Amino acid sequence: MRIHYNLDLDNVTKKIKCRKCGHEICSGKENYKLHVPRAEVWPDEIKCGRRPLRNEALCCYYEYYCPGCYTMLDVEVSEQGAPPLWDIQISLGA
Amino acid sequence: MEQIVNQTKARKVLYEYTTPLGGKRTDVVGGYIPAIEELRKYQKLSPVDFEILSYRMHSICNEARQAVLRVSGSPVVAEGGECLFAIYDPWGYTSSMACGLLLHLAGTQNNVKEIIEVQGESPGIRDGDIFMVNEPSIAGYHACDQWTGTPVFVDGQLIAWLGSLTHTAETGAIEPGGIPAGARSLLDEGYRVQGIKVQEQGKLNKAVINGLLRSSRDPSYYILDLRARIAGLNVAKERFMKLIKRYGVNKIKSAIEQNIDHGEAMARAKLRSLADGTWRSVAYMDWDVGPNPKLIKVTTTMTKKGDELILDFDASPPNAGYFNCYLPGSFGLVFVAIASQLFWETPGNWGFIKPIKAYFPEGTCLNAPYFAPVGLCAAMPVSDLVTTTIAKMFYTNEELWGDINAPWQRNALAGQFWGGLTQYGYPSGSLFSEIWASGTGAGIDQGRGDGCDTGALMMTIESSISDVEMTELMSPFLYLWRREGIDNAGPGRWRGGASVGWAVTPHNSPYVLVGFTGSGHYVDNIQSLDGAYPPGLEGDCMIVRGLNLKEAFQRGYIPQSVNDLREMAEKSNGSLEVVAHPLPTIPMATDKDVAVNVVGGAKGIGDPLDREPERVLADVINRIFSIGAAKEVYGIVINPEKLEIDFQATNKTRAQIKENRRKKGKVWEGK
Repeated sequence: MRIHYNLDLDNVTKKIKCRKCGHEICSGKENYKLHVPRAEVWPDEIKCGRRPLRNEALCCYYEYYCPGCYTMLDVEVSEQGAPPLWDIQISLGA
Repeated sequence: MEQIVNQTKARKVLYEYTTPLGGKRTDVVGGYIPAIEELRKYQKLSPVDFEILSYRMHSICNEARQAVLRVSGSPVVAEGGECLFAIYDPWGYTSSMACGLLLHLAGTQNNVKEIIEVQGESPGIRDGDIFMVNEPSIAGYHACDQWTGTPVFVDGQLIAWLGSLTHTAETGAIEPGGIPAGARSLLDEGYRVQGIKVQEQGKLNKAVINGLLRSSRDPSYYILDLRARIAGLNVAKERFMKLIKRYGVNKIKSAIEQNIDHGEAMARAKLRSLADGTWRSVAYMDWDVGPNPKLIKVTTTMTKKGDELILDFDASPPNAGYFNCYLPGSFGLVFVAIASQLFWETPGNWGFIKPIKAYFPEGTCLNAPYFAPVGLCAAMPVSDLVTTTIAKMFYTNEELWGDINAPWQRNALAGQFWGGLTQYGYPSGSLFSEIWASGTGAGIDQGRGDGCDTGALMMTIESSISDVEMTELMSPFLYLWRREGIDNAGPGRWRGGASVGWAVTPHNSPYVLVGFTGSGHYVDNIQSLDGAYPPGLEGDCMIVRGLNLKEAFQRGYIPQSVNDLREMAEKSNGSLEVVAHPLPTIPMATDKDVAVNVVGGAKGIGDPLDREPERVLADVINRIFSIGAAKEVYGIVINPEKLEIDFQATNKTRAQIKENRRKKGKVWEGK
């Protein structure tokens, strides 16, 4: 089952995996963001349009990457230091 | 900066619509309303009859809405499309609707409820009465949302209500334009009425209408909007009575109720086609009343189980300024997303509202206490939050991949309002229309792909904008430019749509005020999806003062950029000030001052590195992205003279970006 532009939930193993490289990330019962690399980026590091400046920004970006192919899976806008948001939680039953 | 406030632990409040007066058979002086149980035991129509009558009722709504659009002279209504028309059942449950304002799809039935409860017994509800409500604690989200409704009686039985709503821009608030950034109370936001009769038994109540007109700075636009809503009601009533005459009242009563059940059945079937689960999203705003920025946070947890959807919101406490909402407005903003994304093919009525349960905690900016100012509605991010969670949910059903859409309700910042004397010498005030040309959110491969540039405001999805020439004709401004902003679409595998920026100078008027709204200078309002970056802004909103524009125009020079304005300001000892937050309306000097306005683009989907180089080149040629952004964000190197892709350099740049990700990415370890 597809759950994201680049992530599937394997119907048999119930694991979340990358649609591009097939890398198995974690159990479907977990927040995949706890198992993938994340990087803190400040908005003005992204050189595209006017963005909140580092000395003014109230939030930063957290980028999450597939551990296999380093495709960017999410860019959270978040308070600095905030834990990864569990944004996708498919019900797998008991 | 003020520290972010803790998310509230206050009591959750389920938004509910309950049948007025318990739904018992009720005498309303001009007739009676049958018991709700009696109505719900309707004789089910044959499939053919139901299709015909359901379609006819929807056509009546559409025709009546068109009448409203054509009678109103307000750009907000006539061009922005901010009006709706609805048919309700006798107790106020919406049965059929033509909706240009999705946020009101769920709320206007509250107006009917209020009228039945408060006026049913005294002074009574009679054939030919037309009631008006613009009370945000009842329905709508601010005083600009003005609804006018009338009952339909047949042989003494109230069988339906007709209702018409417009966004009427001038409410006589403490600032012109109806959404005053300086408001510190609902009482600052203009006149509000809770069911006054603008018409009694077929006769206009001129004293009441005069009272309304004398409360507005702009009675000419105001009366057109009111007459437009009444015209819509008259058109619909005539068509509705013909329908009754042709098919009989019992079939029409059945069609009204069956339409609701049909909508509910379609909505629940669609929900059943999706996986059960929970999806979450977060949105921010960055300003209250100053003097420093303040982080305002709104979150949702959406749980889908079987054929029900539960939305559990949390938010920062109420604000001193106008970033607040009462319960009906917050619930209404949910339906901008529900109607346009989840149930777009379902008739817009009470039926598709029933499977949605939404909780808004007390004492938050989404469920603010009475008298809190609500002009710009903290619940705007609600539409983006729900759009985001719906998009994520849609991945679980392959048949719905084509409907996946990134959000675009709350694109950052905007200069929006003006008031003062027109070039013709009469007072007026309104919104600039460019906000209705916001870029739209990206889709994915199986859907629309890139968002639409200068598309529509999400909550007013079929909106259009006034021509520059029309705006210059109707209001005391000259445009220096209006164009899609460069580098303000959300960059992704599929990019968001670009929005419009514009610059105006007051012209031919001794007195003009301009106000700025919105947020986004200090924080991105909401993220893009699945690895795309949030959209940026083309630049800052600005006020530039003290230019010799008249002299420049006389020699044929029109400044075309902020740099041009800066140079002019330096030469004339003028000034250039960034507007980083909502700014109450301030005076602008004719042919000397300029308001520079920007609106952020819409959100994208997917990793920008997955976007085909040719698409990025096309974006550069079309001035959606700059050559610099193409390289920095997409890793696409473009020769600036030839406007060709350097594939060797591109491969190297993209590999370098991936390598940087490997170096800086670390699994979160709890700190």
